[in-house]
Amino acid sequence: MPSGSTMETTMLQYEFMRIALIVGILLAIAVPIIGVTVVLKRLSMIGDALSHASMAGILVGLLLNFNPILGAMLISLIAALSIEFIRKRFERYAELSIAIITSAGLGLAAVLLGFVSNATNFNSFLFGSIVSITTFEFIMVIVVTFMIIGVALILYRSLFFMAFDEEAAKLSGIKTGWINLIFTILTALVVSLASRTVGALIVSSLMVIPVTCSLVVGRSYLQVVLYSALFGVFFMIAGLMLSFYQGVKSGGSIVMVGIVTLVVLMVIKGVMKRIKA
Amino acid sequence: MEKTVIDVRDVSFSYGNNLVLDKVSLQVMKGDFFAITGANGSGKSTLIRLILGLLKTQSGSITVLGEAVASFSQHAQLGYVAQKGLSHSFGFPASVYEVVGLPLKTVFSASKRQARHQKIMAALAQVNMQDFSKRMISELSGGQLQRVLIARELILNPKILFLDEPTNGLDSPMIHELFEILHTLNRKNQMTVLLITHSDEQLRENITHTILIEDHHAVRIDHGDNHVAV
Ligand SMILES: Nc1ncnc2c1ncn2[C@@H]1O[C@H](COP(=O)(O)OP(=O)(O)O)[C@@H](O)[C@H]1O
Ligand SMILES: [Mg+2]
Repeated sequence: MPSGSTMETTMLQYEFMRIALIVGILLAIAVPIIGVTVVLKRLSMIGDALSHASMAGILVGLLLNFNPILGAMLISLIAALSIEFIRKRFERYAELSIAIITSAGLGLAAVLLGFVSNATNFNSFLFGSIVSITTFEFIMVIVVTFMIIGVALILYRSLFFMAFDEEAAKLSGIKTGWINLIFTILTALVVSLASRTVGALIVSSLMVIPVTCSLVVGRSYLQVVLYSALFGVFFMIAGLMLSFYQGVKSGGSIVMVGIVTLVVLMVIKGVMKRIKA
Repeated sequence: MEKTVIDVRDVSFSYGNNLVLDKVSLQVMKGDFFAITGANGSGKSTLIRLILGLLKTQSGSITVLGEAVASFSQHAQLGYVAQKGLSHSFGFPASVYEVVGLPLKTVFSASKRQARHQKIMAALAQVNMQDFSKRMISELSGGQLQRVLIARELILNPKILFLDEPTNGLDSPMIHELFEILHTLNRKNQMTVLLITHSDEQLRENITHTILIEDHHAVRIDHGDNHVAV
């Protein structure tokens, strides 16, 4: 259909949309790559916990008068390290540790919100504002994304081995403590950046829905990683286009594209199983 | 000439106030097919985890391949298939080929691709699973998955293979096949095998030494059925 290409040209005419698209695509690669390890370690809700912590961090920044995104990164980092600390010490309560940090982040945000006189900045953080990010945030997104892609490549085998069986990985000589630390830091950073851009309420979805779709179609670990990034990018572009042309919130439309895709994939897989059987 | 590969001396261990092992000693020689048996909760897994360095000894000493466990460096020489293996791997999205290749460091190296492939297929052949390399591990039966996890440990050709209740959840033909494989590794490849097992019938044929953990102590079971305290 020729009308498709003219529509894209229209969207890309705007500088803010071009930047939004670049930032969106980078995060749509980085967040699902992190998501693979997170989902396979059964820590799916960590995105939620860290985005709530980021909300509290943004408020700390607003109140104490320094760059809110730095506040978000800082508090998100503290939250992520706390989760990892609790997870290591109380292995059976990994999920509980995430619930506690989620509550702590939300509680802190609720209390701090009372002290903020101008809440518009905070609203944009809840739902994200990918079209109005600062140069500093833009650079941070690029840096963190390339760090995540680099780590995913260099530590591919270690992350795979650790997700599969952390103890066996450790016995094979992999420095699991260091790798967990690096991974935790990157998770915290990317979640706080994604919170700012696609919205704190959306990050968790961007982390797990592409991975879930890949689990439906992937036939190997490598495929699951690659497909997760591809699904992420597809949801992002489709979501941003929907948002631009239909005037809906970008965060919501990204998630809805993902959910619809997941349902379609599951239906197709179900039908194929029937046919084969 | 017999050579001690595992030397456990007067090792005691408690979880908090719960004393599990009390002055346990045992020696495993090169080429042994060594079994540890005992009731549920008697401390078999704890003992194996102490030997592997996954738990720190509280008193006594453990040497593996001539090195103190605390500063052990020859990771590639030890293979370990944990007790949780099966349930833990359930539903994980990976192919058999990928899982067996995990200990090899050359994942994306194009030049080492062929060598890597041969090692993976050879390890799979040792456990009669060479036809399953493209399967996802979530599509395997318990016995097949157990063999894949053993193949993963075999790929670096370890000197000692540790298995914690590898027969759990397997039916008796599968147990038989597993013991055949372990026996071959032990006899033909001179691999020392140390396993924890309940299935006594299988114990008799291939196993060279058995230790029973009872009342926090290790009791050596002679294969003529006399109990001799160690
Ligand atoms: N991580 C742990 N923390 C506390 N107690 C434990 C832990 N692991 C095992 N135990 C206890 O130690 C005892 C021995 O456990 P284990 O070595 O797993 O026995 P086995 O393998 O012979 O069934 C049991 O009473 C068990 O409840
Ligand atoms: Mg046990």
